Order: sequence, then C-alpha cells, then structure tokens
Amino acid sequence: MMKILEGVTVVDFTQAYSGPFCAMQLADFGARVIKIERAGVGDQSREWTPFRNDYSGYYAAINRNKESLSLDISSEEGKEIVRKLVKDADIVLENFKYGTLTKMGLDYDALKEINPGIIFASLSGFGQSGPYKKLAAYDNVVQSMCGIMDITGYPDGDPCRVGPGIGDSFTGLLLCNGILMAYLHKLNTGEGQNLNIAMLDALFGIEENAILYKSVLDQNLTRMGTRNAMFAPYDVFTCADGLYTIAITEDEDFARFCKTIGRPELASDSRFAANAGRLANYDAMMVQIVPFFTDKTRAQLDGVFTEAGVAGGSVQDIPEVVHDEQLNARGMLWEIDDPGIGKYKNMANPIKMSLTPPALRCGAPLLGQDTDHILKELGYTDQQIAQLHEDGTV
Amino acid sequence: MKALDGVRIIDFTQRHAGSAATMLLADFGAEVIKVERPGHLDPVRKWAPMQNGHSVYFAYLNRGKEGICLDYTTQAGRQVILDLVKTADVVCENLPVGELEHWGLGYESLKAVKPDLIYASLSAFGHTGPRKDKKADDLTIQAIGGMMDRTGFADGPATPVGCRVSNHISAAYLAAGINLALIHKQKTGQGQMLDLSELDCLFAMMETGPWVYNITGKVLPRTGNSYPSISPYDTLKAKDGFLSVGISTDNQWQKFCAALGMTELAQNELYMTNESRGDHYETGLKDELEAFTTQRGKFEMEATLREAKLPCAAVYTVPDAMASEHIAVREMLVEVDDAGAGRVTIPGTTAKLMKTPGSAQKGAPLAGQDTRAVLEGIGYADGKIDSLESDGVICEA
Repeated sequence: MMKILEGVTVVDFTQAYSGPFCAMQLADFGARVIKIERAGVGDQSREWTPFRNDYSGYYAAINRNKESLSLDISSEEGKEIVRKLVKDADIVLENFKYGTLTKMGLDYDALKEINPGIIFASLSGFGQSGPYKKLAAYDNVVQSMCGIMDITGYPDGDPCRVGPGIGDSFTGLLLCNGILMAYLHKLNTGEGQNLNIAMLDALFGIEENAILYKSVLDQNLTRMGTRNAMFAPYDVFTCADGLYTIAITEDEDFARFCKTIGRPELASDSRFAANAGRLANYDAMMVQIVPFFTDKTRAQLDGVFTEAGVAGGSVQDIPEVVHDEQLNARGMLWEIDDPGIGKYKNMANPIKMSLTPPALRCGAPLLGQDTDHILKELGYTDQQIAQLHEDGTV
Repeated sequence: MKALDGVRIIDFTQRHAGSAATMLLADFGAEVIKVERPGHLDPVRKWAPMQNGHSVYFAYLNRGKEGICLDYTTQAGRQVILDLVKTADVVCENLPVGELEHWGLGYESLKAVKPDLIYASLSAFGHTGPRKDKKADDLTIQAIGGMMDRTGFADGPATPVGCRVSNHISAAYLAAGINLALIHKQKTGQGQMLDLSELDCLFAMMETGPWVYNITGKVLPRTGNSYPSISPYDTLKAKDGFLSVGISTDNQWQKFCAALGMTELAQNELYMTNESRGDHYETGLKDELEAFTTQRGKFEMEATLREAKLPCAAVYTVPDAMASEHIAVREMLVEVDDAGAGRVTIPGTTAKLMKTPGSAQKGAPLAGQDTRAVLEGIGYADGKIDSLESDGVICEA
C-alpha cells in the first residue's frame, strides 16, 4: 500500500501527549518522524503509567511508527546535529515552553536560514502570542480557563473536567491539519512557514453553543448535567443495568420515538409536539417517558431503538468499549509488538482511506534506539559517533 | 494567499460534524459549495440561537461557503451534480449510509466522471460493520465510545461533556483525511474514497482508559478533577466559584501554603510529601484546603498563586473566557456579516498559519443563494438555468 507521506521527514522535539499525538498522525501515514529526546532522560511520558516490563505503556501508545534520537540540544555539537537534520527535513514540530528554542538558536528564524522551505509547527498551552504565552500548560489549567469545565457536570455539583485529555489530543489533531495544509501549500509553491496553536483556543473553539447563546441572547449557559439547552429529549436515562442515551433533535424523530415507546399520543400533545414545547415542559415530558426505560436493560433498549431508527446508545464502560463489536469490525484495535512493553492492543488510526490507509510499521522506539544509524546517515564516522556517546551529546 | 486556494469541494454535509470539517477547510481557502435539497434544507437552519429569523449556529458552521439548492433525486438534478463534480476535487458527505449511492451519486458513479475525485464520507459508525445503519448524534457517540464513562466524579455517574466534543473530534479527523488525500493527489494524480466513523474517531482519543485496560487489565475509576498520583491536583471551591491547582512537588506545596497563608498546613507532618498528601487527600486534606479557599475570590487567588509561579487557574465561565484578553489577541472570536442573521460574533480559526492564515471572511449562504452563479461558472447558459428552475430542479434564494 502506498504511503502518502513517504519521503517526508519530521524533526520532532515534542514530549508528553499533545505533540507526540500530532506527530503520530503523520507517522501513521508514512512520514519519517525522528523524535529528539533529551539524552539520558527521554520523553517525560516514559515515566507515566501504565507500566509493563518497566516500560511505559502511555509512551508506547502514542509513539508508534517513530524513531528516537537521544540528543543534548544544549551542546554545540547537539545543535549542529539538529541543523544537519533540519537541512533535509520538511517539518519541525515542538511543544517547548515559549522561547526555549529561540534561546538555543533553533527557532523558526534560525532554521529557515538553513532550510527556507521548512514548516515549523509549535504547540503550547496558550500559543505564541497573547498575555499567557509563557504560562505552563497543565491540563486542568487549560480546561479551567477555556470554560469547558464550567459547562460540564451537574447544576448542583462542581465543574468537571473532560476525562480523556482532549486539550492535548484534539489540539494535536488540529495542528496536524495545519501542518498538512502548510505542506500542501509548500508542494504547490515551494514556500514553507511557521504555524502555532494554543490548547486553550482549541477547546474554546468547540464550545460554540455557550458562545453563541452569550453573543446572541446574552444568556450565560452553565452546566446542565445530562440535559441540553437546545434539544429535548437529548438526555441520559437510568435503566435496569446502567444508563442509556436518547438524542432527538427533530420533531419527526420525536414522533418516531413516541411510537417506539408505545406512547404515540405524546407526539401530538400540544405541550410536546414541538421542540420548544418539549424544552418548556421538560419535567412533564420526562414523567411520561422515563418509565419506559427503568425496567429494561441497555441491550433491550438498544435493540428497540436501533430497529426503530431512533438515535439511542448505551453508556459503555471501558471494557465494553474495547470489546465493542462495531469498533472491532472496523479494525479499530491494532495489535502492536512494542520493543518495550511487548504485545498489546492500541487504538488504530481512524482515517480510513481506500488507496493509502494508515499503517502500523513498528512500536514506539526505545530511548536513543535510532541514534547511531541516524548519525551515520548524517555522515558521522564510527569514531565520531563513539565520541558523541562519550561526551554525553547523544 | 490561502493554503487551499483552488480546491473545490462539493459539500453534501448536514448538521454538525461533517459541516464543521468543511468549515475548517473553507477557512483555509477551499471553495466549499454546499448542496441542499429543496424541502430538505440543512436542519441546522433551525438551530438556536436565532437572529433576524435566521440561525446563528448555521452562520457559524457554514461560514465562508457557497450555497446551491438542487433536487438531485431527479435525473436532471443528478446530471447537474455530475457536471459540478467534473470541476471539483472533493465530494464530502455525512448523509445516512447508502443514501447518495441510492441516488446514483456514490463514489463509483462519481469516479466514472472524475477519476481523480476524492470522496470523503463521515457517518456515525462507518460504511462497514454490523451497526453501520444505526442512527446517532453527538451524545450517542459520547455514550458508546466511553467519553461519558471517563468524565465525572468518583461518587457520581458517567457525565456528558457540555459541548459537542465527539462531533468536533470527527470533524478534525475528516478534515485531516481530506488534506491527506489532497496531498496524495498532488503527488500522484490519484483520488480515493474515505470512510470515517464518529465512533472510531472518538475511540482514538480515549487516552488512558483503553490503554490501562489493554495493558494491565485494570479498569480506571472516574476521579473527577484530581489525579491520583499528584497531590493536590484538583479543583477547589472558592468564595465566588472554583480554583484549579496543580501542585506536584513538595517545594511547590510549601510555596502554595505560604502564598495562601496556610502556615499550619505547611508544617503538618501528614502533608509533607506528595505521596502522603495523596494518601490523605480525600480523608482530610481537601477539606482543610477548602476551609481556606472558600474565604477568597477565585481570580484573586489565581493572581496570588501565579505570582509565586504555581500552576493554577480560576474556573472561567464561557463568558469569562470570551471576554479575556487572550481570546481577543488570538482572534478566537470574530465578527462576520451573515446574509440571513446579520452581523454575528462566532468562534474564529484555531490553527495559526503565518504565511497562509485561515479566516472567516463572511457568513453562511442563504439556501440556493449561489445556485445561478455556480451553474454559470460551469458553463450553463441562462436559459438552461431558467428552465431547471421552472422545472423545480433547482432553486435560488
């Protein structure tokens, strides 16, 4: 199978979750991602649980398909190696604290002198501009400041962060889009550029319901638990063995829902026929429909609603998700043989393409695994390489 | 100059996720021609909030696009699509699986008139698998994909995220897929078909839940806003809201106590190390901290702790965030003129490209606003357009 980004080289300084997640999208489609890890220390996520065989599964899960160069970029020789790499590379990716690479003489302005067409992408909590650009990006800090915590949770409860770290992964994916578009521009014009993204902006940008209610109606939306300001019933129901969701946004779907639960007359009840009425008479509506759910299992409910064409879905726990028949039928679990943690299953890349699908080439690299052969490619002799190891540069 | 100048997308997407993908591409210069059927307009045209009788939600999701109104279920309408596709790079759609194929507008049919076409489909569960025809919205995917399970407090239920997070994740993956396909076409001249599933996309971003389960067999509990291995890393009640802190070292702990005047806590043997703070967090430390934090304002504490260089943030409401200097400098709120709603303030473009920036230049099209112009652009004479209109095949705004 052809690989779209075959021949594209990424010099990747990133650590933790967001940057490596971005780089992984490129690696999954054939780009050569050279991970530059601090000599002797490595990517900080190598310290993150879960562990197996004393290796980090967290690190393994987001660094598949990459190479590792162990390097001290604060040394002169280390910087020289970076420059040599960048000369023939297409993309540089970094998520350091603001100003770090500038201090080292390895920022966009410096590197574009070596390679005018380079695409230089920066990911950080608050971006390369604005009053917070120097603030360290902690997941709860970013989630707190964008408003997403305030709108998640129950009205009588505390604000709640989004469990999975989408501040990192979603931002990484949006930056990947930026990189791909910059690369397309370069293919068309030869011109490189720098780009940056802020986690705060990425999460702010997906709260449009609350943003628009404020900008248009001057309403301050806050957390509503399982309910929704715009649609009803769009909610979570307690059933015999857990929770089941219904998501209705059209009046004709409500009619179908009512028929399915054996209450067709509700759809012509003047209180509930239209969405606005259902929102206004929410509690009265719920009294009528909740009983249908309480004595049935999720499987029973799902059977009924799927058949009827009503948007319904079981709240699944993680084991149920991992064993989900649809996800498995879609090939969404890759079996990976990782040099550190051994054999394990990981989420596959979901971008399914008929000619150029994403591909698993290898697990995540051990620290500095590829140092020597990368240095050889750059023209270093065996003796020079041995010296670099001795000096602690690599 | 924009990165996607010259890229033409025939856009059948409706509702949210698909339209958010083509929105991103339109921001970066793609010519997105939104196709709606008379009598079956995009339901988002009725989504609140409304202004001047038009949906601002629609204005946001469809900004920068052109709009044609066309009954492609007729032979004549189908031919118009075929003629349009001959001039296009991409067809994008998120209609029920099999619908476009039913009307003779599936990948194979369109590839016949445009061999290098990129045909990008998004659906809830994909075009393959036992549940491919199941209906779903954002909440459905959050439930099935485990996002709800991993969000919420230890002593509370699985909790939905308060915005359309699953739709946005799918949109970003769909846009990336189209960008990848455009790169491949640029290099090889080949088009192809993309088949994305919202459930697949959400699953790919579930982070530690599946990793821990697959690698160790353990099932992680919900932990609300705290991290089990760092303490105190949590969201605490303030006098006027909430404050999040991320104290991960013993040195930071001492500075934290000093900054908030919690001298006794600083000296308490029980809380000297990260590990012991973690052990005692739920059984005493959190309450002791909140005895202090509930006395002070969230922004006041944020300022004090930031001066001490400690990771923290007040919990901002969305309006707080909207009013912040950061959002203004980053241009994450922009004003555009929408043909229907009028002047609107909507979220801006997130990725900042320095040479080829993205931007929202104008609002969304009225239904059929650009029908005539688009058809003239592909060589249809006025007479032909008039007769398509009188036959009810097309309509103009």
